[in-house]
Amino acid sequence: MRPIKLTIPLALALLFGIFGFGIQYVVHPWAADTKEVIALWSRVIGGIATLLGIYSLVHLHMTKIQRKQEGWGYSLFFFLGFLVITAAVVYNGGRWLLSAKVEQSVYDLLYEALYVSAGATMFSLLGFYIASAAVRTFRARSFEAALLLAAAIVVMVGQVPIGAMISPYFPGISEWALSVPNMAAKRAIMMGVSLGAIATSLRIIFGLERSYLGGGD
Amino acid sequence: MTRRVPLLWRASTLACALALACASASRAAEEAAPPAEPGLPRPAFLVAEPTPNDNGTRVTVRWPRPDAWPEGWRYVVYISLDPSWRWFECGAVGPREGLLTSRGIAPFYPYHFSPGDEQYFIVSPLEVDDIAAYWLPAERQVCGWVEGSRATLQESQSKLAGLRDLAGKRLAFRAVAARYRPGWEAQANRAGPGQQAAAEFLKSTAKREKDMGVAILEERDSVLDDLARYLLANAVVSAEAEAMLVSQDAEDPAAMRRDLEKAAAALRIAQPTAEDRDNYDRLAYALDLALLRRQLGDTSALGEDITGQALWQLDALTREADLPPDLLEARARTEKAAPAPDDAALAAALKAWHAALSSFERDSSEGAEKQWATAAEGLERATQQWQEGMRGVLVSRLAGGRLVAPPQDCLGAEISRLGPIVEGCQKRLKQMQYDNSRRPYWFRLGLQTPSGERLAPFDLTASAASHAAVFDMSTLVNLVFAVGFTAAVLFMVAYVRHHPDVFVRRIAGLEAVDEAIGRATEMGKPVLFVHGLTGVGDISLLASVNILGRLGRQVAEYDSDLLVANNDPLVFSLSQEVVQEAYLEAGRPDAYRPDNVFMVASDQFPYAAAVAGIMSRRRPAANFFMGFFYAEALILAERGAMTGAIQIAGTDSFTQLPFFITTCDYTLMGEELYAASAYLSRNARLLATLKAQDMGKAVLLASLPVGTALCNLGLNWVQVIYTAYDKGF
Repeated sequence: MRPIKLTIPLALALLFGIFGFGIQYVVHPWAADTKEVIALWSRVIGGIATLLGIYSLVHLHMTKIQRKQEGWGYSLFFFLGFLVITAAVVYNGGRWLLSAKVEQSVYDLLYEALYVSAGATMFSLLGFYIASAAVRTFRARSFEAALLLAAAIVVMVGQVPIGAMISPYFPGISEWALSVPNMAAKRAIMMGVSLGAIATSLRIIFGLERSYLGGGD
Repeated sequence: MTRRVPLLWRASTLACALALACASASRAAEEAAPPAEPGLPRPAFLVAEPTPNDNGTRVTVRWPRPDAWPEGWRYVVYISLDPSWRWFECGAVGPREGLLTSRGIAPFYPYHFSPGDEQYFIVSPLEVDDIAAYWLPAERQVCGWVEGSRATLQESQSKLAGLRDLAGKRLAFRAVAARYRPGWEAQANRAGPGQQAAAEFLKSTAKREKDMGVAILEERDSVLDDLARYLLANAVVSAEAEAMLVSQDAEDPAAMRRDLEKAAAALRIAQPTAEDRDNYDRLAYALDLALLRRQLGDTSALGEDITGQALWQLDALTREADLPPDLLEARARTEKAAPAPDDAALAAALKAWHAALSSFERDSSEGAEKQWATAAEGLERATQQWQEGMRGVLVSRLAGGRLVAPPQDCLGAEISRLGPIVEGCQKRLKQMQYDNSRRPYWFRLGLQTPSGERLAPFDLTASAASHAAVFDMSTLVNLVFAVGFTAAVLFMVAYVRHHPDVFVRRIAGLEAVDEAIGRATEMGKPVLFVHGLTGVGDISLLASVNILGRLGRQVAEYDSDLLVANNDPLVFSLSQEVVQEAYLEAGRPDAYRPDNVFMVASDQFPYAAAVAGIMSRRRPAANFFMGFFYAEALILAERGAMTGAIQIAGTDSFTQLPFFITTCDYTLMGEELYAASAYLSRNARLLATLKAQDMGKAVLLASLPVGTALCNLGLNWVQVIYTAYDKGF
């Protein structure tokens, strides 16, 4: 059991990790072809995993309905949506599944009129959430919080036309705050993130980190 | 006085003589000096070489940059297959373009140590349109025809299915209309309030029926066009093979195969010249075409069957749709009469095109090019006439009466059969393009005046072929850093074997993990773990999965519920495995519930909506947001804050960090996400990698002030190293 669950995955991680690292420095067309083949494997594995994902979704909502869990009625909508969209894809504007996708079909209508609109609605909620998060954050309870509040006011006022009308310095200060201290902090985070990402990759490649296999250290 | 006069005389004579000598010397010098060169000077040298760090498709040309650059002038780069052939322009270079030594720092390897100012121009010969005209026009044409014939058949198959659907709709509509027509006719004949509506309904029904009939006929005509195009493609490929064989004086494929073997043997013995290779290529190509022709010839009966099958289906569907005779007659009247397809004319046009092409390959003059263009126009006309003629033949066959059903579905069989032929053509074309991109090309420089006029080129030429590099030297700094960092990691891992006490600063967010899980256990509510939106290819996702493994074990030990909401099928499978193993490690395999690790949605906002819904309904006591997040971050975290859960977030997405900081109790910022797994495990070997990270940061911190100071002192070698090898860093 151990070789299958641990040794072989660790050996594969080492092999593909070093290979994937090395191939980034090769410009020969052979390297590009190999990367393409590996990407193809990923797509095949992804396709198989999609079936597992669909099974999980169906199983989750079916269980909810069977057990009459809280909000089980929403699961009916899952099945409704799933079946309607699947039927629209199979029907394909009368050309059926194996033909090329027909434009302006029922599927397009459902996608553009329902799915995209619902997504846009969710996105628009962000405006309200930003306001409520800002109200909670911008309370000057300490020196740092007061500094944050002042910086936020300057940056916000500097970004809108009325800021320049109040004082011509606002846009400049706002721009400076964004491009100097803010950018410096961003870059510092980026450097730390890059080193962290490389260290994590090395931990995985050399088999030091095994949590992703579900096992211990 | 007597002595003074001669002295003065002598002095003045000498002065005059000197003046005259100066004037004549000046005049002579003026006469001897070459006239000032207009615009830019002739470069002292011109170098062509394979572009460094390239995949073997480009050539770099470079020359010294002049000290003075008159306004509006530009160097023009020309390319040719051979100095005695035509030259084609492939680009112009201005004063600030292609500088190799701007501010003393060359932009890329290997020119960063270039001794003086130079300019460069990178040419991708495959992308120079005029040069491309020399390449493989015949190969491209035949590949296009074969590809086109498959696409046409696929289109026809799809149209026939659509036609069946249209016919069915028309019949169904007519049946319904027929059922209600008597009633509406009666009402239309009876004076009353509904009379006009009934009359309009009858009229619109008739119009709808007619429109559906017209649509069926239009679709039918479109299939006929496709069939004619398919037959044309077959005819052209056969004629093409014929023309190529004739042009090579090798009508007998067996004889040609012998020639080809001889040529191959000769090529194996001696280093072939470019001309030999061209001949060899042509022979090989002609052989391929002959084989293709034989394939097509063998299957001419199949081609006939395909046409027969399609026509039979069209006939059956038209009859099934029961179209009125007047509509069919009206359609027949609009058909244009065309002469029968003339195979001989098509073959002659192809032959003329090939003859013009080979003449153009020998003689690259504009006259020969024009002749080739005229032949191409003639070929276009011949193919059009052939196709129209074939369409007429098909129409008359269709109108000729009931057709016989073919024995099998040869349409589908032909589409499958053409698949490998198309792939073979594409592969061959790709190989020939690859070979052509590696042949040597010639380059020279000319001038462009401010008014856009081209002056005669300089007498400087250079030649080079592109070459595929193996190692990308522009990523050298990246490689050195990566190897150095790897060495640091391995060193620290070895070091902690003997010094296992590793100090790592306290990370509040990770210290609070126990508290959060304990709180959830006390409240009898679940813990929710959210991965972010990236897939398994992203390193932050792997970091979050590592954290999930640690967290899963702790949750199992506390005997609480862990919900994991996934948006990617691969991540879902991985999470299920990781959580199951974590429960097993904790000695609680019975407590693991597969339903708690689930897939909710694969898109951003459906995922956010689903997770927010889970928070509202299940009310988890602790939420963990670990990974890379986009706009959904605030929706999730704000929703969690509203439910009163303790929230711990960790992300390397700095655009979402402020949102997590404002809405979560603890936030792991940037690198802390990657350190979390090691921190939670308390394993010395994993903590050692954090120490290596600190060493990397120390190097970066040191290089920043040192590099800045050196640059300010005019010593820019640090900058040279970082910018000359900057790709991918």
